[in-house]
Amino acid sequence: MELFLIRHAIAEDGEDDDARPLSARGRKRFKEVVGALDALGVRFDRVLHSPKRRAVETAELLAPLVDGELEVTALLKEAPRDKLLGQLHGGAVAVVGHEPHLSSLLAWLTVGEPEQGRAFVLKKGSVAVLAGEPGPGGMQLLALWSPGALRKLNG
Amino acid sequence: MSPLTPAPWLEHLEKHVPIALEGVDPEGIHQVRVAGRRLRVLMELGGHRALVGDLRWLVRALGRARDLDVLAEVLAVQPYARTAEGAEAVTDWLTGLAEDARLEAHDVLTSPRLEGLIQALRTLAPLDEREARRSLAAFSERVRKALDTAVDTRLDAPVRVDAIHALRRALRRLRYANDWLEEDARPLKSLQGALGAMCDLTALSRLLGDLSLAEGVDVSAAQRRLERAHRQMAARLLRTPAALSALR
Repeated sequence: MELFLIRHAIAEDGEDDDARPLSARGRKRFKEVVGALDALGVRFDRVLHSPKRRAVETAELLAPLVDGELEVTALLKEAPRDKLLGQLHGGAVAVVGHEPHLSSLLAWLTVGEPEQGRAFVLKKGSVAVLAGEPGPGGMQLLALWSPGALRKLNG
Repeated sequence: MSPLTPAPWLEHLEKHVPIALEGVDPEGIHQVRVAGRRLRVLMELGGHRALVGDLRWLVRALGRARDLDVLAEVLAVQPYARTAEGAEAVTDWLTGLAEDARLEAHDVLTSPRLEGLIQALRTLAPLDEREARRSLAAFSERVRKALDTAVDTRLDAPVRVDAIHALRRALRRLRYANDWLEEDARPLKSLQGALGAMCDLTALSRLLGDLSLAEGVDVSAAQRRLERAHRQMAARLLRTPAALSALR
């Protein structure tokens, strides 16, 4: 399978972390990311996303690239565990989440050790592309695109 | 007008999840599904795609348990088996199915997906009322299309069961959309209720068919009665000028 790990776009500050919306700038820049992914021919059969508002809003912006369903899961609010790996099925799946958990997931899937997550830098709106079997060490990192790189790819 | 937020039906959902989990009062699962449907309509009024699929999943995943609750209520009032042995077979069969459905419902009600859905709805931005009112037209259009498919006013025309069910769903969604926008939806409610009773008959007939296959119980007479009642209700409702004009 192809797995796209996507960190939520830039959000506003706020006391209630779960309720922070995307900022106008974050929304605008992530629309450019979506445009670049579209130009690259990226499509998803599923999008899993965290319930935090900034992740829900980021997933919503990805909707034009989704042929199947968007699915919320509380598992993406916390450090990755086996139950989350069990949710990773499909042909091309996007996961919209938060740091440091997303980097931990990336490390777990590629080198088999979640604690190696600090070796990966996922800026807000970044996309990591993986391929293989979604188990510990079962996937290969194909690309790690920052929002800036995606904008350049899109010309 | 109060802001368009999911708060009232989210509270309803959260209140009924523990009741549904307890598994004693059938209203628990029923009201979780009602809240899920109403919240889905709200999301669609807002033009959202996120959480719509999760709400659809919630309603569907609890559908089997709800159908069995309805069947148990009907059989308690009107047993369809002709003999004591038959009645016992029906009870055993229904108890077994209900236990399976309860286990499935438990998995749904304790899932990270439902936990995430509730968390996400708590922080959803209020919907733009103008946008919601624009979306309302699409709900009406779906009812018109469903009506055109379902209704054949010729006296000898066959009743189209699937089309009637689709009409019921479209009507219910239009009613919920009107409720969210605080429009008068009472005429829609009575029609939806009548169509709902017909759809319940179909669900019962299907479950009785399952019973026949599983236990070898002869349910053909009961099914014929249900089908006759369904046809009569459909013909009465869909060929009545007052009902049609209210729908249109």
